[in-house]
Amino acid sequence: MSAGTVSKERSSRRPSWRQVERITPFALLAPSVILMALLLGYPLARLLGISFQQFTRTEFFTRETIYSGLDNYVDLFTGDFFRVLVRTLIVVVAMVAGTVIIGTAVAVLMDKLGRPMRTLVLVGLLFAWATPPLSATVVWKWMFNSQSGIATWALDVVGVNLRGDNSVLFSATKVLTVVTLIVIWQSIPFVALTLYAGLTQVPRELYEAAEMDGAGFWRSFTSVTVPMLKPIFLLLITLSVIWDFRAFSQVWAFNRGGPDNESLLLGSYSYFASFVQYDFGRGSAVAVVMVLLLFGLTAYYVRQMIRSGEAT
Amino acid sequence: MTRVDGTAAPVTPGQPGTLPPGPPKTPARVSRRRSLTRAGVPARIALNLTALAVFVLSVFPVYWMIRTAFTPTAEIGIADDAGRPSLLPWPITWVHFSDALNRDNFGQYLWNSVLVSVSTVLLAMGVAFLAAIAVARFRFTGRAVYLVALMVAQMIPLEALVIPMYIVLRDANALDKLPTLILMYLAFVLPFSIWTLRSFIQAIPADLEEAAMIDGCTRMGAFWKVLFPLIAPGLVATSIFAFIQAWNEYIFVLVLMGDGNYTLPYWLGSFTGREGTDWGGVMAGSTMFTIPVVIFFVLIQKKMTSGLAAGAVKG
Repeated sequence: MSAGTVSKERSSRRPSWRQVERITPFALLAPSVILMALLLGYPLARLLGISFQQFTRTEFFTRETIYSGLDNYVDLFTGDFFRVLVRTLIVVVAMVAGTVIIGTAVAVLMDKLGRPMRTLVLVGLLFAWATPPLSATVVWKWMFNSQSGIATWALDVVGVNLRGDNSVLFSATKVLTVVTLIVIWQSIPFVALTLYAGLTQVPRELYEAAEMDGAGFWRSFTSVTVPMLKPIFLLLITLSVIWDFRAFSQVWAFNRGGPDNESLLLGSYSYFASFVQYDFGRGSAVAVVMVLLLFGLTAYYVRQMIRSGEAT
Repeated sequence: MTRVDGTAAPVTPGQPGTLPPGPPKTPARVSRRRSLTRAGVPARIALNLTALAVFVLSVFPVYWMIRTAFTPTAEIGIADDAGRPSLLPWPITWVHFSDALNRDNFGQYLWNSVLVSVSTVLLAMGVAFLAAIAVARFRFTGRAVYLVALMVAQMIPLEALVIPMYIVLRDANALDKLPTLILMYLAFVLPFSIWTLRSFIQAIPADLEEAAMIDGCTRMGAFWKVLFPLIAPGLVATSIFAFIQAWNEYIFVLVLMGDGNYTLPYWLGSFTGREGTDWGGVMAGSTMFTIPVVIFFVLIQKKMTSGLAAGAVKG
């Protein structure tokens, strides 16, 4: 601890106490600032730089820097980028909607349950939450295996055929459906538990008043629960969009973006462009677009956190 | 993170500051129980059945992973005459575990995973503790900027950084080296760790350190002797969370490391799942990869979720 020497100096030379007080926090922050600037800030700047360069396999080996202006961004308009973007938006909306709707239902359910059953639900949620995304992906892939998967078997029983040529892995729509299910399954716990914590803070008198006014379950849900929890909903939706946009492991480990790269989403598409097609410039441009898309949401999130006094 | 620091009451959205944290709980519980008894028996049965369904759906994939890991290869897929997969692993076998441990560098990757995650945590906690003291106990110019930067840093899509990092590290001749990975993960877990430790420190009244300083302790001595033991539980929880993040990380291993230096996520992600995949072995490996995380997670969930939830409830 470098600050330790500072205080020793004080006892011998006695510089003013105030002076020491003034440098100490900066000395304490220095390691973290240096690390984050070097390993988060600098790469972000380099990303932006590379996105304005012609940077393919050739430049990678010759180590030449060739600026190409907006070429990479213009290229995005001609390639399949827009299809990927639209696909990503659809999938993210499905993920977030599924997570928030089911998560809300589970939170309300927990609120109505007795203690033992509530604990049971909590334990279940913890398992889904704690499972590493990669394990989850591998297990779901196994459950949907066209020959011996348990989900394939169960769906077969109800008349959905996912065997042989109908295998999940042969259809981008099916791949993305299962990927969406994996993400929803893993995201529900955070949403449900956060909303449940919020629900316990809603004054019961409000429900009693609504009941006296003749409101049924649905009515008191829409006119008491939702308005009371609106700030939490907004925060959860913001966080979910940010997190789901970033889903990479699930997409890549499930089927490498296949078949025919049709199940690539923005994050995996950027990876694919860079490390499979070796067009780092283009991959970076995609990544920059992704960062910018998320920036607005992040700004909203940060503003909310500041408003609620978190940054004090 | 209200529950943790205890300074601000969890605020009912829309009515800032009107609701104290403790009192309403008890009456709320009572009235809820009353309303439950008032609900009819069929309604209660329906509720409990739904709860059971939620539980089963939540744990099933995890259960199925473990079940597959213990089932002999011949029984893994379809078993009985009706073509129904058997739900229980029977007869139980350990062979997939020994297979997995002896195959495809699993042992090496397991060791790499442990080494990288533990090193990341130890370094991160050192750096984060210092920074957290600074933001929790000092007022200085740039403090607010630093806090906002921490929040933004937590939201950066790290997947986007893998491209420039690959090129920067290639130029620095640092690709395919475990310390590189440790350094990267250190940066990833720092923002969160500092943020959390800060709220743990804020929960401890500064009077304690001031008292120690009056008794002749230096300021740093007071942090070390008084504050450090008090936030040890918070430090453990934060460490575990950082450990899980490092343990689970995939894309940077995939891009930055090579054959001898991969970690377990690479191993797990390498199965394409087409013909001839040894699912028993994969599930055994996956189980070994998952179990420590689940145990850790359950250990800390109270501390972390109450913080997360309360933070969000404040809205």
